[in-house]
Amino acid sequence: MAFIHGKSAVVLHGAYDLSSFLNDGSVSNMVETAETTAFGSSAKTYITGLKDGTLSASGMFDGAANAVDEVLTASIGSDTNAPVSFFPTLTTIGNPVKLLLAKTTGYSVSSPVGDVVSVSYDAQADGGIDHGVSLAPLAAIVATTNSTSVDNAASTANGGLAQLHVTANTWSANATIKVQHSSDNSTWADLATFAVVATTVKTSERVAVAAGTTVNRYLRAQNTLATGTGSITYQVSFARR
Amino acid sequence: MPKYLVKHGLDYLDRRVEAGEIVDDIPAKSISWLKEQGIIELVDGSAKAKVEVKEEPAPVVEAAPVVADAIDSEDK
Repeated sequence: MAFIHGKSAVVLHGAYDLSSFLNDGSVSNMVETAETTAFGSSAKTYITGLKDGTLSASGMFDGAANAVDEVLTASIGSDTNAPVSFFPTLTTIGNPVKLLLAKTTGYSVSSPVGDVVSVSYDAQADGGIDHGVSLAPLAAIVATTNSTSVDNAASTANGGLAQLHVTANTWSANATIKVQHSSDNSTWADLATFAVVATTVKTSERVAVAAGTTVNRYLRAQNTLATGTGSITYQVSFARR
Repeated sequence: MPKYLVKHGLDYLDRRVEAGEIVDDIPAKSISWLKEQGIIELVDGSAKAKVEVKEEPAPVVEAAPVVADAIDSEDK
């Protein structure tokens, strides 16, 4: 992957695409270290501790329904953490993404006399940050679809995390969305199945694949739409662990 | 052709198979990894009967009179 510009970053927060309100974002991965320096050492030594992560983003204020102010005001202080996907650029299949379960820890609105009203927010990752890839771009879907597969070149053996964002939904029937894996890019087995998305429901969800589970070389997203009309806009990612 | 019990939902040859179904048309090149990962399981012609019998082991365990006997029978 070549160097990329930040203009096409995408931030999906729960069932909302906040990208059109934001103009700056960052995700920080951290890990604690515990010092193990003993007498006689000439330099400090450490062992690896627990991972941690945070998300910060800022942009322009919008007070409309389902816009940034309403979404982030509702998220702060909520006991329900929001699945968040941070794409450095676009949600194209195969593109990298940072996945976290975000507990919003700060949200502020600033109104300078000579500039646009702005917002900023901070979130704490609950359970660390996973690095994944997009399996389905954020796009309106009108029919049952198997996405193009993503080749990891090899299988992994420690499970993973699937994350779904449904940001718009006018489909008049249920939708079933899942992640499938394959060793041969031909026969596909279900790996993670999200809860059935009922008609017109916007939602987000994380499904963990248990540690120790083999995740085969190829991954894809699949949706099955019960007979209906309208469209459903969703995005799916998967992070191997 | 050998028959397989599907233990996780599968898609192949433009076909969808749900867990619990028995099939005999899985592509040959996929059988090895599907078996290895426990996604399918080889069954014989009486597979359906076997699956049903599996659901009824409870009465046998409850009939064991003492714990020691139960442990002995499990060891055998």
